[in-house]
Order: sequence, then C-alpha cells, then structure tokens
Amino acid sequence: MKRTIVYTVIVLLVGLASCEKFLDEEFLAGDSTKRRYSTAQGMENLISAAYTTSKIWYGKEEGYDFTTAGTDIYDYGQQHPQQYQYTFTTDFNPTNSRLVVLWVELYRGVNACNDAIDVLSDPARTPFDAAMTKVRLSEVRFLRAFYNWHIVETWGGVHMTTEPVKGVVITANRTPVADFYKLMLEDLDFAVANLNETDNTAKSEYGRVTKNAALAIRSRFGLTWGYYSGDNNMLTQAAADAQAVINSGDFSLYDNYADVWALENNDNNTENIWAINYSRTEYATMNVDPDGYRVYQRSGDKPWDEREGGHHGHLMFGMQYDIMQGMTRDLLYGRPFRRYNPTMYLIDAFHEDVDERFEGSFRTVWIANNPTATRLKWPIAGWHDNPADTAHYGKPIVEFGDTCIVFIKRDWPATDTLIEDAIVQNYVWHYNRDFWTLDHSLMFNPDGTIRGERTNDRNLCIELNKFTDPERAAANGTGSQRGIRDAYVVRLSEMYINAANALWKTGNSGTAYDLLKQLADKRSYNGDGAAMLASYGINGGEDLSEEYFLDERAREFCGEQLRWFDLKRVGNQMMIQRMQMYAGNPSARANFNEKFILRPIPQVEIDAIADPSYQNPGY
Amino acid sequence: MTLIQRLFRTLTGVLLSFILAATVHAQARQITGHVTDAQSGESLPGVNVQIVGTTSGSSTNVEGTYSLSAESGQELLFSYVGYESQTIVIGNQTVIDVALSVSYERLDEVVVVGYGTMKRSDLTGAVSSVREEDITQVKAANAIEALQGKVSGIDMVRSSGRAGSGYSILLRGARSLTASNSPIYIVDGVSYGSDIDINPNDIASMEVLKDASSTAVYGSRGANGVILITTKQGTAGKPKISFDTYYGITSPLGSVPLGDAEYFLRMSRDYLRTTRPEYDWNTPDDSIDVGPALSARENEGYARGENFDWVAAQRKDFGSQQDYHLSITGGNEQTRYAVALDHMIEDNFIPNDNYKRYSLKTNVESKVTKWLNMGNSSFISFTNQILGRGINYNMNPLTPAYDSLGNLDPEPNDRVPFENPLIDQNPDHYLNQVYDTRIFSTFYGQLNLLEGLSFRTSLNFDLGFQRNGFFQGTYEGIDRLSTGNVSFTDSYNWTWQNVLTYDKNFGDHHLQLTAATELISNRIERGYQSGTDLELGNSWWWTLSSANQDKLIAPSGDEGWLPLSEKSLASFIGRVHYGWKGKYLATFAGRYDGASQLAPGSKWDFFPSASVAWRISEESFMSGISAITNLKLRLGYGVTGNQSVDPYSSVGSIQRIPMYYEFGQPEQVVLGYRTFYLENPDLTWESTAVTNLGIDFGLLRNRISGSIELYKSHTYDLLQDRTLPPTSAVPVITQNVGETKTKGIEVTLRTVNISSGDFSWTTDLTFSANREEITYLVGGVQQDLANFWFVGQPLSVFYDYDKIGIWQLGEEEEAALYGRVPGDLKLADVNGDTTISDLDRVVLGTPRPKWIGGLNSVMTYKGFDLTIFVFARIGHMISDGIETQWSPDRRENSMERDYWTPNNPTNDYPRLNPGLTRSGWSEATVLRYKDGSFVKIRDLTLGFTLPKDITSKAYISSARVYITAKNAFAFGKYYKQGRYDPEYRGAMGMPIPKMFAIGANLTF
Repeated sequence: MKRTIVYTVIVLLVGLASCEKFLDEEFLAGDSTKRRYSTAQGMENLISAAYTTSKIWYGKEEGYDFTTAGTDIYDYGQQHPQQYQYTFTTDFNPTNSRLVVLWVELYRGVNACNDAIDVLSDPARTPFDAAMTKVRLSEVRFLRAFYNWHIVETWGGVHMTTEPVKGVVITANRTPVADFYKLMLEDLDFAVANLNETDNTAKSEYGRVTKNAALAIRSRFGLTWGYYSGDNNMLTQAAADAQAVINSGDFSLYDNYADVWALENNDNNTENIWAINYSRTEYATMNVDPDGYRVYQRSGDKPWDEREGGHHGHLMFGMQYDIMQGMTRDLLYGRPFRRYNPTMYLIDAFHEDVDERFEGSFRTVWIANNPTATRLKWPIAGWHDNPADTAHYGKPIVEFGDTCIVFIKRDWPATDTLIEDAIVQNYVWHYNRDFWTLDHSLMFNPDGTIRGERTNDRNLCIELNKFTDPERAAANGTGSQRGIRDAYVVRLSEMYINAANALWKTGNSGTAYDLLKQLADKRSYNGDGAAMLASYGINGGEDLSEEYFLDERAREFCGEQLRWFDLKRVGNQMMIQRMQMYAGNPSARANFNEKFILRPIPQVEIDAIADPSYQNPGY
Repeated sequence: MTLIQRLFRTLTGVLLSFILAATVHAQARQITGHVTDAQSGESLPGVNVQIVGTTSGSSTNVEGTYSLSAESGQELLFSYVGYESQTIVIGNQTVIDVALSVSYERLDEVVVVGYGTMKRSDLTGAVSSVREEDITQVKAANAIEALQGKVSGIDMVRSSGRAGSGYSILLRGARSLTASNSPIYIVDGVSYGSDIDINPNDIASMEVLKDASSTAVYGSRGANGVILITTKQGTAGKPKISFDTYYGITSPLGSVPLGDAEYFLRMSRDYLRTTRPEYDWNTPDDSIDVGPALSARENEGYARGENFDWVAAQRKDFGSQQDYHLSITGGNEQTRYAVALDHMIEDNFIPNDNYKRYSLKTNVESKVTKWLNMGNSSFISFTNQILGRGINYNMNPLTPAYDSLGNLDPEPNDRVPFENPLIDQNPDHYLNQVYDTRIFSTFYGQLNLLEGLSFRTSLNFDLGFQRNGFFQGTYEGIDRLSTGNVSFTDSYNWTWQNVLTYDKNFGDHHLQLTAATELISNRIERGYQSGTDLELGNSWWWTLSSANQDKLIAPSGDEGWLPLSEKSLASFIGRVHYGWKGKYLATFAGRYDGASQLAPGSKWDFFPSASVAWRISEESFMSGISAITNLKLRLGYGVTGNQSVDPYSSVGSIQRIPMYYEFGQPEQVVLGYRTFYLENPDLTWESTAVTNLGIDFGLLRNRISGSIELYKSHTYDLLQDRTLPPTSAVPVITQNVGETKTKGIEVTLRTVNISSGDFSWTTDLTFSANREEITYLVGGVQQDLANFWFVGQPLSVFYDYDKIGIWQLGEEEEAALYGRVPGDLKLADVNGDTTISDLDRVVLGTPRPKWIGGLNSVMTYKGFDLTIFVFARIGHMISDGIETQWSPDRRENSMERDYWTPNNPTNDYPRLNPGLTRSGWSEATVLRYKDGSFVKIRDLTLGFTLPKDITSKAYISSARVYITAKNAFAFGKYYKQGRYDPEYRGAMGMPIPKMFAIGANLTF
C-alpha cells in the first residue's frame, strides 16, 4: 500500500512538472512577428510590405485625388464619385472615405518601416550580414521618410512615431512639422551615407531604393524644408543633391519628351531615378481585399477596392471617346474613367509650337477605330445641310481609319463651320473637316473655368496620355484596369528644376538659368532651349520667378502626383491666390482658403482617440 | 422461491459472512436479511447496509440479501439511491428483512459535483439534477432537450426546425458580449464540447451547476455554468436486455397563410386602383381588368384558373422521427458492464433535410483487486445530416411549379425570377451534408488507498472527424453555375485527470477533501476546398478539382481561418468540504488554471469560491415542527471565468498583404507580410463573480419539496474588440474592458399530490426570471450601434424605429411633414425633429424572456401512466422574418396581409406602393417585432405497462407501450395569428415540428 502511495505521488509530480512546457504556445498555422522578423526571409517579406504601401498612392486613384486634382492644373471629371473634394465646400470633411484609405495605409507603412528599423538597427537581432543590413536599413529608413513626407504634407504636424507600435495605444501625438522634417532628413542622410553607388542598381534590384534615389528625394525634401524654414543652407544642399544626381552619369534626358512615356522605355527609362515597380506578373492582378480598412469605415461606405492592382493612371484622365460614331473602346485609347479634367491654366501653359511636352503629354486626335462606324449617314435631319455638298449624301459620317475626333486648345478660325446644332453627347461636328471636335471656347469659359454644359458635364476634355497602356490584358472587363507601367516617383528633369529653383532662391540665378536651359534644349522641338525659354518670357536668370517655376513644373510634371506639394511649397498665400485664379470650377475659386491646405484628419482617427481637438483647424 | 434458490442464497450468505468475518470483531453476531422494494416487493440488489458510527457494512447481493456481523444495540442504516433510508436497531434477531420505500426527495442521493460526488444533503451550492425518467420523457435526438422547463434557470430555444438541429442554451442569462454564453458539458468527468449528441437513453443523470461556488472547480471555464452528464453503468445481476423504440410522425406546428390566387388578384386590383386613373376605390372589382397588372405568365395562369399552393408543394405532409435503442447491462461483484446500440432517424417534412445517427456506448468497470478499480467508458457515434433549404414564401399562386406536361418549371415567376424551389429539394441538384464521427473514450483506474482515501486517474481521448460538403448544381433553364465546397475538421483532444479524495467522518465532523490536477489538450486540423463552374459537376463536391473558377483552399473572406489550432490547459483543483453534525456545512473550492492562449507571465489565473449551508431542520429546536422535514439555507460566493480567448490571440502575428511588391527586371515577387495582430500580453479571461442565496425545503415528509435560488452576478474583464486609431497601424486589439450584470430568481417545487395504493400523482414546477444588463462598454460609451449594445439594456436587444401605426386619411398634413401619405408607415418621431432618421431608433425589446416556467405532471394508476408537461416562455420579443417578406409593389407574393386601403383603415400593414420593392424597402423591419410569449404543451404521454403475468409468458420482464404528443399544442398572443412556432424567433423557413409518436420499452 505504501508503495502505491509513493507511485501515486510520483505520477502526480511527473505529470505536473512539465506543465509550463505544456502551456507553451506555438503558432504553426501562421507566424509570430517575433519569430518571423528574426529570419532573413521574414525580414525580406516585411521590407517588401514596407515598399508596397507606396502602391496605395502612386498610380492609384486615391493618390491622384489629393495631388493632381483640386489644384490649378486639374479639376474633377464627370465620373469622379466624390466631386466635392474639388469644390471645397463643407462636404469635404473628415468622413472622406478616400483620405481614410491613405491615412490608414501610410501609418501601416510607417509601422512596417519601424518594425524593420527596430530589428535591423540592433546588430544582435538583424538576420542579415553587416553589409546587407546597411543596405536594407537604408531602404526602410528612406521609405519611412518618404511616407512621413506624404503624411506631413497632406495633414500637417500630426502623429509621428519612430518605434513599432506595441500594445494598446489609443492616443495620437501632434508632432511639429519641423520635427517631421528633422526625422525625414536624418533618415535620408542615413540612406545617402550608407548606400554605395552600386547598391541596388543591378537589374535584379530594380525598384529598390538607390543612393541616387535617396539624393533625389533629399533634394526634393530639402528644397521644401528650405522654403518652409527659410534656411538657405538647406536650399544649397538641395541644389547640390540634385546636381549630384545629374552629374552621376546614370541618367539622361530623352530627346523627345514622348519617349519618357513610351511603354517600351518603361523598364529602362533613362529619366527615371526611382519608380514604384508594377509588373506583368500574375500577382499584380490580385485585388487588395480591403478587410483591414473596413474596420475604419463607417456604415454605408463602400469598402475600398483596389481594382486589380497595377498602375491606374491610364484610367483616370481619359475622356469618353467611345460613345462617338466611329469610335469603339480599344486598348490603344483605353478605358476612360473620366476622373479628372485639365484646367485652362494647364492647357494654356504650353507653347506647343516650340515645346514638345504638350504633344508628349496629351491626346488631341482620335482615329475612327470602329469598323462598323457606318450607321449614321448623310444627310441627317436638322443638321447643317449644304445643298452644294450633296456628294456626301448616303455616305457614312465617319469611316474607319479617318480622323474622328479632334480637340484643339485654340479656337477654330471663324471661317471653319462648326455644326453646333449637331451635337451628339455634346460633341460638335466640324463640317469643314469631317470630324467631331471641341475647341478652347467650347471647353472653357472666358474666366478659365471648365464649361461643364458644353463638355457633357465634363465627359469631354483634352486627355493626358502619359499613362496609356495598350499592353493591358483586355480593353474591357477583367484585366482591363491593371496597368503594367511603373510609377515614376522622381525623374531626372526634376533634378534640373529643383537645382535651378534652389539656386535661384539663394541668389544664383545664372546657374539656375543654365540648368533650365539644359532641360529646355531637350524639351524643345528644335533643341533651342533658349528660344523656348524666351517664348515663356525667360531670357536670363533675372527673369525667373516663383510663377515661372510653377508653370514649368506644370508643363513637365502634370499628372505626376506632385502638383499639390509644389503649390504647398511656395506658401499658403500664393497657393490660395493661384487657386482663386486658376481652379477649374467657380466653387473652388470662391471657397479655397487656408483651412484646405491641410486635409481633414479622418473621423475614424478622431473617434478612436476620442479627442475632437485633434482635428485640423476649420474641419 | 424454489428450494435451490433458497439454498443458493443461504450458501452465498454464509460465504459472504466468512469473508466479512475476517474483518470484523470476533465477538460479533451474524445478521442476515433480505431487502425489498416496499411497493413492488421486488428484491433490491446493491443496497448499502452500514453499521452506524463505524465504517463496517455490507451491501445486498443480486438476490437482495445481505449478511454482516454486528452486535446487539448497534444501528443498521439501509440506504439506497432513490429510496428513503431506514435505520434499525439490532435486537436479538439474526434475520432483519427490510422493505424500503421510494423517497419523495432524495436527500441521500449522491450528486455528481465535478471531480467527485457529494450527498445532496451536503450541498452548499446551487445544483439541479435531472432524473433519469425526465431525460427520456420528451422524445428527442438531443439529450439536452430534457433540460427545457425541467431545470430552473435554463433558457433554451431550438436553433431551427431542421432535422438534428441543436439548441442554444443560456444558463442564468447571457453575460458575454463577444464570447460564448453557452455552458460547458462534462460527460463522465470529461469536457465534451458544446454539441451534445448523446442519446437520452444512455444517460443516467444530468446535473446542472449553476452558481460560482459550484462551478469554481471548473475555474476559467465555469462562468456560463456546467452541465454534468453521467452515462449509464451496468449493475451487478443477471443481464438485463432492454429495447426502447418509438416512431413518430411530424408536421409543422401552425402554418403561415401564404397568399392564394384570390388574394393575389385582390392585391393586383388594388394595385391598379393606386396606379390607374380610370379606377378608384369605389370601382367594383368586376369592372377592373386585372390583366394589365399581371405579367405574361401570371396572365396565362389566371386564364387557366391556377391557384397553386407553393407551401404545400415545398413540403411533405409528414416527416418522421424514429429511434431504436438496444442495451445490455449486467455484471457480477467484480465486473459490471453496459453496452448500448442506438439508431436514430429524423426525416423532416421538408424534403432533402434529414438526420441519421448510429451510436455505440460501452461501459465496463472491474474491481481488479481490493484496492484497485479499473474501467472504461466509451462513446462512438456517427451522424449523417443533410441540411435542406427552407421554404420559399414568395412564390406566386398563378404560376405553378409544373408545366402542363408535369415537368418542373425552372423559373416559374417571370416578374421577379425565382429559381423553382423544388429543384433544390433533389439531392442531385443541391446537397448540403455533414458527416460527423466522434470517438470519446475514457480509461480510468481508482486506487482505494486508505480508508476514506482514494486516488483516481483517468485518461480520455476524444477524436472527432467532421466532413461538411456543399454542392449546388446547374439546372437547365436557370442561369447558375455549379458550385461546391467541402471542409474537413479533425479534432484530437485528450484529457488527463488525477483526483485525490479523502472523505471521512470524525465523530460529528465530516471532512471531504478533493485535490485534483487536470491537463487538457485540444488540437483542431482543418482542410477546405471550394470551386465554381465544375467541369465534372456530376458527383457533388468530389469533383472540385475540375472547377473552372474560384478555386480556393481556405474560405474566402475568412481572415481568421486556421488550418491548425492548438490549445492546452493545465489546472490544479482543490475543494474542502466540512460538515458538523450534518447541520453546518461549508465548502471552499478553487481552481488554478494555466492556459496556452495567454501570454507568458499571464498564463495562470485563480478562481476561488466559498459557500456555507445551514440545515435548520436538523436543529433540535426544529424537532417539534413535524411539518418541516427539511430546511436548508445556503449562501455562496465565487469567481469563475469564461475561457474565451482564441488560440494565438496574445501572439503578435503577421498577415500577408494582398498586394505584392516586385523587384528587378524581369520582376521577382517578394510577398509582403507585416504585423497585423499586436502582441497582447495583458489578455486574460472574462470573469464572473456570483453571489447565490438558496433555500431548500421539504414539507410533510418531503411530499412538498423544492428550492429557491436568488443570485446576482457581475461579469468583468469582458472581451471586446477595441478599434485602434489608424495611427496605431493595426485595426483592432482585443481588450478586457466591458462589464455586465445579471440577477434573478429560480424556484423548483416538487409535490407528491397523491400517493395511495394504485394511484399516484406528482408535479414538478420550475420557474425562473433573469435580468441582464450591460454596465460598461469599451471607451466608456453609452451605446455601441455597430453591435446594438446599450448600457443599461440586456445584452441582446431589438433596436429599430417604433411603428405606431399607419397614417390614416385625415392625417395628410401631419404625414406630409414626414414626406408620407395616408397608408404609409407611421413611425415614432422620437427626437421630435420632424424627420425620421437613424436618431429615432429606440430599443424596442429583447429576445430574453421575462420569465420561463415548466410544469410536469405525472399520474400513474395501476399499469397506466399519464404525463403532461407544460412549458412557458413569457415576455420576450421575436423578430419574425416573414413579416419583412412583403413587397408593397406586389411584384412578389407573400403571406396574406391586412394592408391599408382607403376603405380599410387598418393600422397593421401599410398600403400597396408601386415604388417599393421587397428588397429595397428597408423600413419593413419595423413590422417584424412581435411579442414572442408562448405556452406549450411540450409533452403529453399516455403509457401502459403490461401486466407481469402476460409479459412473463413472452420472457419479457417488463413491457410498456405509450403514445406521445410532443410540441403538439401551443398558445400565445402572436401564435394565435397563425404563424409558426414562436420558439425559434418565428422561424418559418424550417418550422419546428410537432410530433405524434408511439413507442415501447421492453426489458428482457
């Protein structure tokens, strides 16, 4: 019996001694952050995730929404579902669902960077060797600076964090803009200092941050902070960074501006310093399932849908050509989502006779591509009926392969007969030339606002064709939205303009002029940059002005998701002034004020931290 | 009794006395006797015979005889479960025969209390027992059904009328917002999971532990209450073979009056009156050409005079339910066994909906040595459940299901195209089938170490294999792709328990100590595949690999789907029970639980309880009051938990982001994984503190007995998902923040109304009322509209606009303020801003009843027995789905309704409205809130036990036949309006059946 008791006790003790081990939890159907980030593969996954945040902005509708449109160069188009974003009424408020998406994803991006920085900064924890650690750490610090820049330039001095989020945090800090720039520039300094010229420049590393990318972005941020702070050293540094990139010999300007946007130059673009890499791989077709965002959205909001991944610039600026006799939707002309219309200011900013950038940026002519475009035949009752032209009778109005639509940025000569009573979907028939047309006065009111009533409430415009993508899988339906273009974040021409801008601002306008002329030499049809600059009123450094730089940036970068930042850099007063003068709709001209220069902080943030005072002023 | 038998009895008696003699005092005298049932005169085997004040004793053998040695003047205590104990002082006799009578209240009954047993009279907490005969009374697939109305404090409603459907059970209301509120089930000491599929015939007893002082031994799992199920054991004696069976036919209880052709035409005419200027409300019916209001196919049907009854077409007249249960029990002094085979079939009156279960239950226990018992209790079951589609109530009577050739018309309605619902009643076109296999086996050994000291160790394996297949095929004439999915869920669980019990009397002191350890390991593995447009769509989900679209290996949109989930729980359990003279009783119990789901450093938690009881009736000052047989006051307090944290919740984990980044030319994808769940080291269990005050009483020799429980509970550290600010980079984190409270009263009353000779009549009454309330929500907010949680309200409420009627003629001006016209819904403008907006929604009611009660009455006369069981659930609101199944544009048919017209100024249903479709009419929800109160006759059974002299000729030792009506009658405010059974929130697609059955219980 005694022995039994002893055995019993032994059994009990053995059973319980292993208790703590018994309670260890091993997550096998997924992985913990702790374990995953300690492996090289897991860290590469995390860094890839950090890069991916850029895809919420670049080549994406939400990104265009708050950079390109609602400025002096672009206004809303017919199909923009949230046009109030551009009329600057009280409807533009903290419940804006698109700002939620950007706000959420940017902070997730910053946190992914912080997660990676946290591990990589600790030599004991980094899963890479020292050299690789330096490269990857430079990349994520660059990305953190990059995302923080989007945050601070969109919402101002809001929440900033340098540590991974741990545990329950239901507060958000208010960090001064200066502190944002301090951290951003430190991060870029680190990247510039630690990346070698050869790091990430191999073809197999394309898309990763390089030393030149870090210099180029530091020139942009430095220029901006130089403007904000009035610190001339900052401007000098920005000019030096930009010139370093120009002088690196790694990039060159195209002779023809259109080549910048030629799809065949996509992967080897000589002007591209850093691009968000979109691809032809099947993965890019994946939808981003927005479950994670749904949590932040109010009932009634549609979940954000990322539409087949890929670059979406080709969808955004198109006009509705495909409703016209003679036209059918195809890969070349694209799938027009009609989100944005150019302002008169932008169209008129080009001297298209000398400047190849108008031709290189816009589409004004459509050739009839519909083989069955013979339905409508002359004469048409009620149309202009010229008895002398009876030769037309019985013939189709438009024939396959003929010019079908022509939009011009000037007015037609008074002798050209437009048949205004022959309006189909607001297109006007050009009787003398046998095509559908719109001209300047049909597109714009005399004050420069968009003539909605003549453009069928904005389904017609001169369209930006920098991003057209005839290599998509389909013209319509599945695969038609996924663009394979890379989104160029920073191009060589910006280095010329940034350097010139910074030098001019610090009194070195002669060198500034020289740089601008080098760029103009390439952008003018005849290679005579001086003449082109002269046509814009610039005969030397002394003619340069803030306005000139803004005009030049509009011509060079329209649609490239920079405009809001360019306007903001020059100061609130000038930004407001330009919006009052050039915005595409009267409401924006009347309403735009200082409050709108900072976007409203999404209500989901305010609700979660339960602090209404966190909101930006005026919302 | 034959001579041989007598000889045998004497011999065994002598033999036994030799054995016993070795252990008792030499000078003692040998006493023998025969113990019988006072009423039937049958021998009672296994009766405990104890010499009072000593540990010596014996028990009767299979013949009901005993033998022991004792001295004159000592007292013999004869006790047997279910019988009144008797004490006899030994005089000069050597033979003491005793007749025991059935007890009215089983104070000596041994009650299972978790990791041990206790005499009912020693209990200090709130524990209800369900008797064996109650468990099989109401014929059900699910043994849990026996608890409805039989145990106060339990509120259960059937989840649907589907064959084999389960119950949703709340014990003393709900307390958790996001976690389960279901009690846990313990079968033969081991956790069984939430789905009880055990045949009622296999169950010996069920105990419901209700208060925290009783459930504290279940620690982090005890907060929702514990239901202990003890399966039947064999008894020593000659083999007993029993066969129980019944066969019943089922049909819906009540019916929904779906609009017939006449009603549809009336609606169509009224529709024309609202839309055509040439007709008005005074136009006689026969001068309205109804044709223009009908679609082409409806016009054809109208011309043919169709009046097709779609509801009748979608169901069979009757379904059936049958059960065959064969059991063999028996054993000898050393070994006892019980084996039972069961086959249960439920075939719903809705085609393609049925349930079959096959089960095997075995129990073996053996006394290996004097100090060692070993045994095994196993349960193996296989179920095959086919889940049909519910009845469609929108089909049009003018467009029948079959064409003129008698073929199924794939899409009879041409106005709003519905697939013909009869298509999917054919398993070739639609099959949703679950195979469920369960193997639950417990091996145990018990060491009887010292007197009063025993050690029991048990090891349980619980393996479950479930396959869930779904298929919907194409059908010529309707536009649908074949689609299917199949999932496999395998669970592997084991439990190892060690229980040390010390139970001893020291004079007036009684001490029971229980110390136990338990290790529980759960592992679930899952597999899934689905696909659409099956190229080989000929064999359900077995051809998913031929899918052309949407091939998935995890359910789409289910972020939390894990192919592997593991958790483990380690526990130390202790209980001290002390009693003095059986008068003053105290129990202290506690459990120390460590769980794998919680973060290191927070894994362990302690759940304590204390309770005391005072048996006032044992006091000397009560001895004069003969009317009071039993009076006990109990008071308990304890804290228990709700083990509601999912595995891996405290681990910070990553998630793949669905968009990828590519590097290089050509591009190489690097998948993006980043933090999605933060480490959550503070996560812990929800805890509930309960104070329970109970009174047990027995009057007039326990002819009237019962108990009253009063309780208050406070649940805190409730798990709630806290939405984090986006600046925190992850969407939500689970926190222990909310608080709820419940309080209530429970009454149980058993009376023996008549007990005289051939006639007896007993009634059991239960009553309970529970109030629950949210007292704190995350962030300190007063309401959470996303979940319809409101501080101060029950955990589940109906929150909507308040319908106050219909705008009537003469109220045009006021109605116009709200943009409405006479005939429209009149909704309460709660905030008085003359618009009806979200802000005008109010809490309309709760699905929780004000009170529930059950009354069971059993009468026996000679061989006859009559049972009536009435169940009431009163004061709750239901949301009746069919009320929203109305299209005011009359495009779809539905239940016949009394809708408003200028000539019919009703306040029930609004006017026909050409602009409102069924799906587009969001305000229709206000029509569906109804008083769900009902009273039901759950069971009405008349049985007849055949006389012995007849049955014995057929070698049958007892035979009972019965007829029973289950769920046959219901009464209720809403029920009277002709809807289906209100028990499940007015379920109509799968109505809850009523059943008439005949059955037999035979014992050989």
